[in-house]
Amino acid sequence: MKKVMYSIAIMTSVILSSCGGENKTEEHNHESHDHSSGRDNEIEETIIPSNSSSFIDAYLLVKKGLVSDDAEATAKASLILIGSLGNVKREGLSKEEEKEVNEIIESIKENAEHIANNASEISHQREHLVMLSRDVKDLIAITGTDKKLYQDFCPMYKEEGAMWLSDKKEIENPYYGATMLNCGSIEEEINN
Amino acid sequence: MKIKKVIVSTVIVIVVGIQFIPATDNNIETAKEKDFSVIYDTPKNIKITLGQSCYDCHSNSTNYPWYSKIQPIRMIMDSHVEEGKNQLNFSLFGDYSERVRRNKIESIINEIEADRMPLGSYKFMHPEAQISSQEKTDLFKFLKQLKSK
Repeated sequence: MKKVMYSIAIMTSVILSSCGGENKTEEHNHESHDHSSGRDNEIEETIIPSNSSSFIDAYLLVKKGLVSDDAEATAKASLILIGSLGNVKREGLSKEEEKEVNEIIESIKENAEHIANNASEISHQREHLVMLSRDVKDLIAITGTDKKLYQDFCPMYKEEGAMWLSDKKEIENPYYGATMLNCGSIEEEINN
Repeated sequence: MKIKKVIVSTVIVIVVGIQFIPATDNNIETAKEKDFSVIYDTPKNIKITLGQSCYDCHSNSTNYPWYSKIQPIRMIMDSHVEEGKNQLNFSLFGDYSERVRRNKIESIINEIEADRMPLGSYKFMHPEAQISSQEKTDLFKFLKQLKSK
């Protein structure tokens, strides 16, 4: 019995020693992309189907989920948003613009991933809507929009307030949902 | 009882066996100019807060206390460090675009304000990593003015 136990112990050690452990002496060069996007383990396992939605419609769905205080729907919508990023039109863009578009898309992906991974914490989803809204607005500034949009602003969210985009004139606040649905005002209209 | 002996022996074999799982220390030579505290002229007290409460998981240099040499503690630590660096790496802040830098700074504020960071388990093992009320105030003030630049 003793002999068997010793052999098992030695074999286990040998097997375990031979797995894992790479030499990490190089430094990662992140120059053109952000490594942290696409690394959320939960989403890597889910295959996100690319879909035909425009990123604008998908963003509006995410916003709608938060307006309705529905974290699950918001998480699902953010997956649609990630899937729609392949549809972003790149025709007629200068090299500079294309680089910018790629950067914005990476950022949208990262923010959408955080939203998708936090169906249990709507407050965290809302924090990422702030960043997502900036990204989407900046992307529209380069690639345009197929529908009229309104840039709304809520002065009460966090110290500096927060912006979101809407396709309706009436204010429906995604940062507060039902608790303060109509708080905010239109800052700007986005037409092209 | 024979069963008892088998179970105890198996547990011992596993516990001893996993100690041999190789691990690589997260201590990677990185260009200083890429570090967050070099890019933004960071006051000493803020550097200390970041170093004590954040850098173990969110940089290219992790401190490994004695107990971290024991498995499965080391495996748990390594997964924290890997995930931490994926989300935010202060040592490579210079590689982030302006957009990403802004988002990261905003996220740092959000995570600490909501007490999601530092991780509860990390604070338990490293009481000095607790960010005090005054430290939070100073940190947020510093980060907010970075965002507005």
